[in-house]
Amino acid sequence: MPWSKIVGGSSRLGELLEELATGLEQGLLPAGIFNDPEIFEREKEKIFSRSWIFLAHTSEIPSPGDYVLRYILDNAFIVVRGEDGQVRAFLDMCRHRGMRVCRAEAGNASHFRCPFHGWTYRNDGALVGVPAEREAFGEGFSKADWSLLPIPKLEEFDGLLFGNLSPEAPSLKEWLGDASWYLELVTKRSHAGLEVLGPPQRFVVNTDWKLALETFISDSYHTLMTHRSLIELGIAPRDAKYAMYGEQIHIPGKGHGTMVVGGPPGAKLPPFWGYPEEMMERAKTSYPTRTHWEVAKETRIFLITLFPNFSLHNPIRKPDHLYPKPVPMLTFRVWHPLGPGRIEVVSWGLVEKDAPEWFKEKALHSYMRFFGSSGTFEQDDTEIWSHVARNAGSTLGRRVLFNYQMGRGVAPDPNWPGPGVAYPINFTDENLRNFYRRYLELMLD
Amino acid sequence: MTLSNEFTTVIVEKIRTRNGERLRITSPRLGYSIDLDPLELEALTWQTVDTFSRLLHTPYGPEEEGVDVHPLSDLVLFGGGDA
Ligand code: FES
Ligand SMILES: [Fe+2]
Repeated sequence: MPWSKIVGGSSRLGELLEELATGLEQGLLPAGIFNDPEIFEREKEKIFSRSWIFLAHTSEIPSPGDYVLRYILDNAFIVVRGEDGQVRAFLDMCRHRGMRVCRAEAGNASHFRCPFHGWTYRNDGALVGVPAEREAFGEGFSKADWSLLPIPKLEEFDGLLFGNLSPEAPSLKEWLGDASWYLELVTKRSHAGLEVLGPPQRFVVNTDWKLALETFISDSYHTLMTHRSLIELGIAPRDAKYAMYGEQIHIPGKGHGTMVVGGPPGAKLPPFWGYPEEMMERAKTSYPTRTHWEVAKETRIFLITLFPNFSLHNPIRKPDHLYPKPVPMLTFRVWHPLGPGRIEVVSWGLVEKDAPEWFKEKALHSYMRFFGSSGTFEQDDTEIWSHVARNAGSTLGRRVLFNYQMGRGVAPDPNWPGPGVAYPINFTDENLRNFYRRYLELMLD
Repeated sequence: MTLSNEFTTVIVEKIRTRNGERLRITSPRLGYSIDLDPLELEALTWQTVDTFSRLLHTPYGPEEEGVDVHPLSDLVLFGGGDA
């Protein structure tokens, strides 16, 4: 094919977005959007400054004074449970001259004291101590005017805490829309809810946040090749196309997408992800509808990605080649953008609070083996993502158009019992075309 | 004799049958193996790269034609209503 046929125009911001707009419905995306300083600047302003971003799970801060530091773009927030039990989030920036008042990533504190001049804040944000207050600032000084700055918006969905930099943002509920039905497949699997298995792992990858999340919203096709060694080891199902046998569902207008994968034909995989039978039975009363339970019963691999950068992956896995039974694992992850072609992955392992102890341990092993900084799947993926991003940022490569045409023309599945638009086969780019429609809408806004 | 590159590994060995010899080529990772007699081997000598391009169409060996892909919705009972 002649070079002129496969490349777009110039790669200036406007032209990249123009190319995206013209090519999207045909499944053609310019590589340049995956590693470009101007695109990144616009994403900061148009996407990350007004989207709901996952900050923490409430089980990370169960007691008064528990806090974790979390980030949206380059803003650090102290997410802290006050002495009154309420969860809040504050910009980690002293109101006096801007020093960080919290310098550990996690801890427990009733107060945060600034190391610069000693202003001291209670964990509900109130400024309570100013050294030499009267001598230095006089009688009229009002500490009430100088509290820590709260995050513009903070909301919770079943233990998942999301923050938003825009005070005008729609509610989290509205933002999630029908995606919450699918989130509940995980958050309401037990009455007790989820708990984190330790602090999140964090590691930097030279890639774009969109390339990372593509894997978790749509691209099951890559397991064929990227994770081939795990298939050869018998850790992933023997049928290399195992991730094809499922439904891919997107939430129109919102950008969210989910994949509900069953078992390959003939594969003997236990129902309900392989969670212990008692958990499967208990779920009958914790799920909001019987349909949730019926879907969950047939599910072996489940993923959801919430626009823009939160993903959840809940697959059945064999913990290793020695352990005889498959054990599911659950991970949450945030694709935290650091710069063009550069992200920090924040990855949590989670399990139901009321799961049996032996199972929690196995689920943790399963998570660590496959995901997180030393996980086999993660290593396979990150290696590949970094090369794609590098090509996408190269002088010639950035002008090449990528193929997002998988599954075009396949009709939605009219029998799918959940909300959203479902496709009857998981080898499709439908969720991605939906994601980039939303992306484009915000980028051009 | 083992031959490896960044894509795969194959083992090539001469095997003896009761009455003659064959060349066995094994792919230990995928579990495929073939025993070629001299005539088959000779036929290989007049193949072009195209033959092998055709053979390499699928990365895991031959694929079953027309696998039945049922949507997951076929398996989900539609109970509806409250749990
Ligand atoms: S900057 Fe914090 S007390 Fe001065
Ligand atoms: Fe992967």
